[in-house]
Amino acid sequence: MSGALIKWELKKLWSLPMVPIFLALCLGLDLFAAGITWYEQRDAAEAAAYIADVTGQVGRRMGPELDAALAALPERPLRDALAASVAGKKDVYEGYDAAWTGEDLIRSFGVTGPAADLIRAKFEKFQASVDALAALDVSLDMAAAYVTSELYPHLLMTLCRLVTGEGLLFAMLLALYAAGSERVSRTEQTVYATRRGRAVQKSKWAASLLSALGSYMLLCLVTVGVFACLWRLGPIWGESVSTQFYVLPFFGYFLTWRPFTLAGYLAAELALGLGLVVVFHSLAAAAGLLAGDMYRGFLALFVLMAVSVAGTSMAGNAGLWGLYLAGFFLPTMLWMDVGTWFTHGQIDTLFRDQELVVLGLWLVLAGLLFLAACRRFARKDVV
Amino acid sequence: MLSVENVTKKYGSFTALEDISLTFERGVYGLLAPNGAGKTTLIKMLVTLLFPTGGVIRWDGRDILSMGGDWRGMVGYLPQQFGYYKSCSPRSFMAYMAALQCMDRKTARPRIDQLLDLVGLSDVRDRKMRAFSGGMLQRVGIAQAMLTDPAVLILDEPTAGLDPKERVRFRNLIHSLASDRIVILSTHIVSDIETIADRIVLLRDHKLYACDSPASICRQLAGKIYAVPAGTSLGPGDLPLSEYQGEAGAMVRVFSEAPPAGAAAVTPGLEDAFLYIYRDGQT
Ligand SMILES: Nc1ncnc2c1ncn2[C@@H]1O[C@H](COP(=O)(O)OP(=O)(O)OP(=O)(O)O)[C@@H](O)[C@H]1O
Ligand SMILES: [Mg+2]
Repeated sequence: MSGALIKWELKKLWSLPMVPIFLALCLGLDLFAAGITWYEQRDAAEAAAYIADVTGQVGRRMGPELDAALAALPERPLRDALAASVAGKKDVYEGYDAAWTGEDLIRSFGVTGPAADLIRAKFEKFQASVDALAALDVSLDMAAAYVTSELYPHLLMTLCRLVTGEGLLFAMLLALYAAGSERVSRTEQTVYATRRGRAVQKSKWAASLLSALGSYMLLCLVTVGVFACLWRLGPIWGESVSTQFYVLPFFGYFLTWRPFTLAGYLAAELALGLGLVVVFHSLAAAAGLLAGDMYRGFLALFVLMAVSVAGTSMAGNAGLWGLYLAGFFLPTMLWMDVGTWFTHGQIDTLFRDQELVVLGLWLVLAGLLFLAACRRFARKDVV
Repeated sequence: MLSVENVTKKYGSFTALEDISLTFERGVYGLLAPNGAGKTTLIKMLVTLLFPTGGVIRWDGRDILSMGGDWRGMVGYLPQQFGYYKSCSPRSFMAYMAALQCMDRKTARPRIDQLLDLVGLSDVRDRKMRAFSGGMLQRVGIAQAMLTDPAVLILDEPTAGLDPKERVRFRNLIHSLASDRIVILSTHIVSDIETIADRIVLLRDHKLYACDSPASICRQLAGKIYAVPAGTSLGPGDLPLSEYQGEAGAMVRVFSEAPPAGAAAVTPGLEDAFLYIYRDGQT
């Protein structure tokens, strides 16, 4: 893989109008998504800014001292609302029974058989993490108080799902285009008969990967940047993401295997997204090479992904829990769980850091698949 | 020396080429055969775009497939359908090709300008190829094939779309290039190669029919080609080949074992041979 060729392939990729247009559309969508929510929740944003502001004076740990400090602040409706929401909060992770949560989830989703035992075993192990969180008193972090339950899902679920989803889609399109562009421009014969030959696909892979990673990072940077400007969270970024104010339906407290601050969790989430971008990119590049045509490659990939997602959720509905759990070892299902990565994982995961294991597995698999596709391609007639 | 040894190529159950054996040494080789005879198939196997179903192609005894990039680096190739990037100029297209050929930029740059000059495209070398005529594109194709100063130059219908002046220029160019390399070109146009080819390769029925010098191919028809006025009734063994406008009106060139009445013997040309060999719509 020569640097000069990668540069050429980058140039070819970005001279295609669709590429910058798609990126611009993604950026526009992110800005819109961040902006519209902020606009609709201006009151919450104002409250969050107030909370961030007073955190400096009253501290972040809830308890009688914080209550007293709040009472000493100048009176205004925002202070009263905050005081009401934090009053009398206890460390809810003290004596928290993870096994009970597991049992509750198993019951409400109706998981049965060996799958239920595996999930039960996971929650037993999870107890140590809860105890560690309890020892750190993170449930008492005030965070964004009563705004938290609206604000955090907006950032960690909606926006992150959007950005990672765009990043993955863009990566796949870039990979497919790079793999199939010579066919479209009818230059296959000229290009593949050169010294570099069909191995130019490796330079194309590198160029489209660089483009995908760069674009993804740009999307992350802009989206998070805009969010951070709209929602002035200040010290809240450094408070635990596992504050007791962050509760999700059918999920409970946002308990993680290891403690995360809000900023730390966001960074970890986006970093895992980066890994997924690499995986989906290589899968698409392999699909493009194997199908020999970018449209067919896209179709094949799309069908496989749709089947994996639909199949997993259908397995869950049909009570085929083994299949359901296995589904979460696929990259598509890993992506579906964006926003709850690194947590106890509800009934979707089986062990600590399953996300990282699945990611690592697919990084290797996708890489091998691409190399295998290259080998096959090297022996394929160019007709 | 390039040798094709018992090469067969099948597309599914269809045999496009069967048991072809040929050797190429310095000089111009013209692949002359009708549409669908397998010229492109043979050429694509020579540049490793297609893989033979059977047999092997060797360069100085080494299988070209195992040589891989080393082999392709020695070959210049112009495909029959020369595709290009519409928004690219000839110069940047050539620069990309140079990168694909693993040439370094310093040697590539002057070479590119020199080649574009050679094919008469200096004036438009920085213009987008979108606006080029078919002949101009073909000349870009010829230039890119010569980029590496290849030991083997393989051109699939290089003169398609060229005007008479360019065609002659091209013929001269090929002739001068062939002194120290192998040039293999396919064409339907007899005049393109009649005067410059050292050898003509004829394919018939998907097999090698002949590989011989133009003169000796024509010699086989010596004394058997006659010119008769159009409308003359021909004998059962006579085969009309082509019509032309003579000084005395419409004439027909005829292949005949015995001279028809009123016929004048003419010197057989390569076109006569071509028409005779592929007389029954054979490929
Ligand atoms: N990909 C393919 N699949 C099936 N058959 C093919 C394929 N490519 C070529 N053929 C067949 O193989 C035969 C030889 O084709 P080829 O293109 O080599 O002929 P050619 O001599 O180059 O013709 P032309 O003068 O029209 O360029 C033809 O009968 C053609 O129909
Ligand atoms: Mg052809």
